[in-house]
Amino acid sequence: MAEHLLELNNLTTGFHTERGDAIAVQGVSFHVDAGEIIALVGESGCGKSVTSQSIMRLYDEKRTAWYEGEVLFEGRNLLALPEKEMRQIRGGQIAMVFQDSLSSLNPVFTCGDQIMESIRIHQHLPKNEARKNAVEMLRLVGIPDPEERFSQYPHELSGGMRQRVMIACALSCHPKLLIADEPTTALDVTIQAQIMELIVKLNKELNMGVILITHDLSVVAETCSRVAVMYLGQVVEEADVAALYSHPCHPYTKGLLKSIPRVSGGRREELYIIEGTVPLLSQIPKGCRFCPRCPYAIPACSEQSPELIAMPSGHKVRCLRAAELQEEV
Amino acid sequence: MDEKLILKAEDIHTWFPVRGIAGRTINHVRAVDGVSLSLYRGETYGLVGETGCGKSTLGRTLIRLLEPNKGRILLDGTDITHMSARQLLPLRRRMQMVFQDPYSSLDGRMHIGDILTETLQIQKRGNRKENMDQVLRILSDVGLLPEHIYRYPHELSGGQRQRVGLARALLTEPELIICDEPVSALDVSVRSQIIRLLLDLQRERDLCYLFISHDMSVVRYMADRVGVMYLGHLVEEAPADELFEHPLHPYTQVLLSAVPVPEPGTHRMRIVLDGELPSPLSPPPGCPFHTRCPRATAQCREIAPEFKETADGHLVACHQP
Repeated sequence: MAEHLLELNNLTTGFHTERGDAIAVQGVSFHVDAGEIIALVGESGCGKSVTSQSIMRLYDEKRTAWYEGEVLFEGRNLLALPEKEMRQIRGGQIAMVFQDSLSSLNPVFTCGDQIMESIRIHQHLPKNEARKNAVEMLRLVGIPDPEERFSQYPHELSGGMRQRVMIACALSCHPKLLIADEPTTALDVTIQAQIMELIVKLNKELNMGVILITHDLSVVAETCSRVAVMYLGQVVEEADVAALYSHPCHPYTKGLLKSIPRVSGGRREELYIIEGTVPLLSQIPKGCRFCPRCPYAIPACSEQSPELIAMPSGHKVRCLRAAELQEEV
Repeated sequence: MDEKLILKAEDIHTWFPVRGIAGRTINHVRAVDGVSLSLYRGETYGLVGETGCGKSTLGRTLIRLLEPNKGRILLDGTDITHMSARQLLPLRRRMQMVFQDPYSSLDGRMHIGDILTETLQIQKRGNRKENMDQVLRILSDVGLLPEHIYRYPHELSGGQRQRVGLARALLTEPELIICDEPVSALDVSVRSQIIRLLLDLQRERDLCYLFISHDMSVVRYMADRVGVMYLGHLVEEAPADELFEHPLHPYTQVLLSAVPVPEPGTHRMRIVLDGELPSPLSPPPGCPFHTRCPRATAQCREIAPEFKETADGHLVACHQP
């Protein structure tokens, strides 16, 4: 079997807190290939951002966090790399785009300086060449008058333009993997459409792998090839986009899909409601984590923790009743 | 229809002064620039538009949290356009507001019970016991428990906080509630709970909602009539089904084409706009949308189009609808 660009094997991330360890991500496994966009979907607190930041090892391992499992990037386990080598990978081979572009860009440097910084650190280019590359990057992400924008500060740009600068920063060292953490959540729909189109276009042109982290199932449907749905730190379902939307197997995925209002719909159909709320990490229920909110729960669900099992249809589902529920539409 | 009319706004302008040296006003941000609309009992009016189009300013002006520079607001026939705070106080009972971020709109140092009874004290209702009874009744109506009155806002989840925001608005038994992005900050599963609650409360109490949102799918689900704003102007207004199925204004068409659909494989024609939103400090002459409009002509650049009815209840401000 060919090697995947990135492969997570049972990644577990925990944080030391005053009330003992909180395990934010438990046993997450999935893989990304070059040229593919995969989505991590879930609600607040499901561990999707922690997963992505664990791939980059952004948490302070001396004090706050610990990792278990494997993060294989081109066959090398990132969790076992010394910090010095990890620095080469961060921003160089794996890059990240964050949600809030205003707080992620440094307000006291121009946009151009910030793009040049990563080019100079990772590629050791002289200043004038780095500048040329940076302007080229700004052009690549569709910023009009890149020469002029180069010397502007982040606050002088609109939200959509700033997000493009962030993407230019991320792409400046030609990463093989791009992690986009809610890149369009703070943007208007028309701008969101432009940014998503840009990410898809760059993904094809540069043959990068992309992990798109989002809570918006509609954005996922239009851009990604595969989806992993997360709930309370675990992947509960993973499938191809088309299969996931037409035949969701896990009760949580079913519920999520039924609770989105649609532009094409109108209000005739009742909107589905997932009862209850996401429990706290310190109060994870016994057995299946979704069991207290699940309409399909049987007594065994509160006893036994289900594994992520591959189904004949190509889905991977973490549910005891997955086989029965798949029949149901 | 007219006996159901609650609020009528005519040609509202809300401008914010921009001050220069020595506090002299040098320019105005024209946040709302000539909007007329009517709100009726029992209906949901969805107001959509992108960041900075003036939809929140309009909402705040309608219930007189802001005073318009020009225009007229009639609440049940009473002119409230330039009323003083004291004159407005008894009328505030009839119009309330729910904000987007329930965390910053609830006082973090008061517990829920105090936040809610404060509303009734300001309105000089009943004695302490009666007020507490009413607070408890409202709490159960919005799906919270009596024990929540001793909690502080930070102890509640986002959905519960939004329920408190809603409870506070409902306490005075209003007829009109301005909902400014009430579900935008919530997760999918919590969002559908709050939407259902809003609809149930409306049915029970014959409430009128002005539902401000940038999320077209939610507006489609909630609203009976929809208005689209661009750069301080209302550019199109129609019954929800009509607007979503037959959008006439080019801006509405752009907005709708950008909405992602949760069905893989349905790639719709997306209209991509050139350029950026013009500054409301110096809006373009003629039609506000002409700088980015694919159909703009010489006429659009000079003459602002009238907001006129093309079909039953369908109004649009465009020379070439």
